Amino acid sequence: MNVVKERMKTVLLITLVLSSLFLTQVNLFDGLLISEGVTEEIEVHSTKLSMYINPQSYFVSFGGLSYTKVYDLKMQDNLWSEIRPFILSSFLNYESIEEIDREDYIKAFSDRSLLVRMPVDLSVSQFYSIFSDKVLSDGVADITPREFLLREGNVRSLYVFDALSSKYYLMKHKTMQHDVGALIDAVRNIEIVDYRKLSDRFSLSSTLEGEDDKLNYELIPYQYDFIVSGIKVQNEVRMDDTYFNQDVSSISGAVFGNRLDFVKKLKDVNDSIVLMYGYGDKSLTVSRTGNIAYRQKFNPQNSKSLTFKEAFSIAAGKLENFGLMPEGIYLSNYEYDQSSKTYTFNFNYKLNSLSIAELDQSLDPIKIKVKENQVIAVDKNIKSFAGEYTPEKFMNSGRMFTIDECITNNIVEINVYYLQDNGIQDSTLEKYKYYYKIVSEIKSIDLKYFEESDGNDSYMIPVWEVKISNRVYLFNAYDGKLIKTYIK
Amino acid sequence: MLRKSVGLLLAMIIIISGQMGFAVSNHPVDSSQIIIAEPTSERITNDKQIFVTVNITNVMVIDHPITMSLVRIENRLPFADALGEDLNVSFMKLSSNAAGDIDRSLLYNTTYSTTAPEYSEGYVKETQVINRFFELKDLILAHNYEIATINKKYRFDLIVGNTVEIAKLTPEVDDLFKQWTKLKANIAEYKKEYVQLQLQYSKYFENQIMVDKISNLSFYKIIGKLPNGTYKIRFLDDVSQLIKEFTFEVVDKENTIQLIDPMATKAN
Repeated sequence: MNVVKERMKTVLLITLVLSSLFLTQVNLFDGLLISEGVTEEIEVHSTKLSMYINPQSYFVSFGGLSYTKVYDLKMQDNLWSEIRPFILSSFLNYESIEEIDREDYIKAFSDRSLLVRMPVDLSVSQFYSIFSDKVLSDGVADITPREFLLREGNVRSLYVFDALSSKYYLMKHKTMQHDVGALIDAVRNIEIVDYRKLSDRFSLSSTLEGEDDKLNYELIPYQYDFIVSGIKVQNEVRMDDTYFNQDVSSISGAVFGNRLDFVKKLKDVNDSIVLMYGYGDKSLTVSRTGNIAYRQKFNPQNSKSLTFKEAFSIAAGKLENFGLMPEGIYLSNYEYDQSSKTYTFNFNYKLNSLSIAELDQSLDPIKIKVKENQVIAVDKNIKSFAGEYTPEKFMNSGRMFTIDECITNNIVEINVYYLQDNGIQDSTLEKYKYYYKIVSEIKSIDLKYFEESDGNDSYMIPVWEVKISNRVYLFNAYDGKLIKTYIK
Repeated sequence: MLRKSVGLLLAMIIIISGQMGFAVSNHPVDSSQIIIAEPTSERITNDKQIFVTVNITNVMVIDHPITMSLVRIENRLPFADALGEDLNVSFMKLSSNAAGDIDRSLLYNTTYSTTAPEYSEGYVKETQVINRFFELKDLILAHNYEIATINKKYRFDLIVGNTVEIAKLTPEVDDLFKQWTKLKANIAEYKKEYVQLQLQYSKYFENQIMVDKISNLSFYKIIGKLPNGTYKIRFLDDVSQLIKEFTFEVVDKENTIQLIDPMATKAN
């Protein structure tokens, strides 16, 4: 009897010791177990890739010298959804494709027509792969369309501008027709701002000498009797202790899972809050500027190279499960580093119909890095609309500054940069010597929002983003001052 | 005596050449350096807003601004109703068209006021100008007719200055020749006065709509919609002398040629 009892006690003791060891292990290393499971997780693929690829500039020609640029988001969506099927179909079913001169392209844009410009240079095969799995012929696959032009009257024709190779093409569809005339009439009916081509506005054919570009067809607003209001904005995640956990929960939940026990919360020297998962395999850093940075350690096991579309789809998938999705998100740039097999996707978004101005080259609001088949970094700094607001100092502006005023007010700096960037030695201080030359090199004019803060409030003011040659200038649209400039 | 007359002659020469120099004054900006980007046509329909865009290729304009003035040429004299019985011309004749073509060199040597016109008391001076203008007009017409009639018969224009041929003329013909020569001399005198009056008369019909200063290389202004009529855009230098002028007409839409189909849709 006693032997049995003793044996039972021994068994019980061993069981207890073993179970305590096991449970200790489980408790201590629970996080690791789970994290191992997570690294085997498959990245989420986005199913709405086409949403991110759309033109960001819509130019309409009414004939004569009259043009307009469409900023209204609904109208932009309307136009794109009407012409996209024709464009996609043309790539697959074209009857002919020929290279044409720049002059012919610009001539096509002088009559009633619609010209749309893409923010990012994708090859036709990359672009097409977003929408369909069909394989395109070699004739078109490698073209990188920057602009599409459709003209009333040429209902089966699609004009394409390939910026990377500086070539212009005219494609003719076998059977399908577009009705861009009706779209132009629809645009006419909304409140439009009159624009002019730079070549007409500044009489470039007469004011320029020599070989300079006299045909610049970039559009500049003619009428300026509109004011874009400033807006108050707030960060996605507020830093105050009272709000932080609540605001960050959707993001941290998405990237860490629901077990927040293994998440350590640290405060960085610059007041950023760092959420570290496990032993640093994943981290989420939220800073006062509103930037939310996610980093995930790359796991070489199970890694494989992806195509552009696949990489893009997991980047977008990550973005869709990373907190707020603002309006009008679009892919604004991408890069591929062959040596590290890393894609970097840059996104921008819209507030009050306007995009956010980049503060420097490649400093877009959203940046996602995809190495092989894993998302290793996300940088997201988006603001939400918190009301219209125009700072005191700008209250008295009856209207916004015109592009010409911005340029003439800052002509000295623009001159200096122009001479410097082009390696021209000129010791005369003639301010206006290069005026028409500079104007003829304007590559793009856009109205965007730029973030400023005065003390506690953050707000966005409208800025003119003017790209002259390969330098970007950001002018405050309220007072014409030059805020920033950088080479792009 | 000699010294005095030489001194006087010198003074006269200096004054006259000074006047001439002034007449051909150097504008800060030349006519060819003012490029009118808009309006692009001399006929504009009245349903569209009118934009004026000017680009200047001379940086002098920044320190020496030029003035741009837009005037409307009225068909009817603005103060026609106020003219009294001193007017010797019938109202029917008082139109801007009656001014006729103005001599170009005179046009570019005249100054244009950009302020509101000041009329004389009771429009006395204006009446005198109008009377004399039409008087001269008729005189010149009559003279021209006479000259032409005589010339048709005798072809005096072929022997002008040819003393040999003139000596061969018979006394009666010689009289006619002298008369013809006198008529021609008269006309030359009348014309001098006439062209000045022509300019003054045409200015009476001008209604200034807009004045602006251009002190930038590139200038633009939205004028808006204008009623039908003839308009002139003038560019004046700092002493109000004309540098460049552009005339355009605003017409009804139906009067212009309409393109039905800019591009044939067949070649798609």
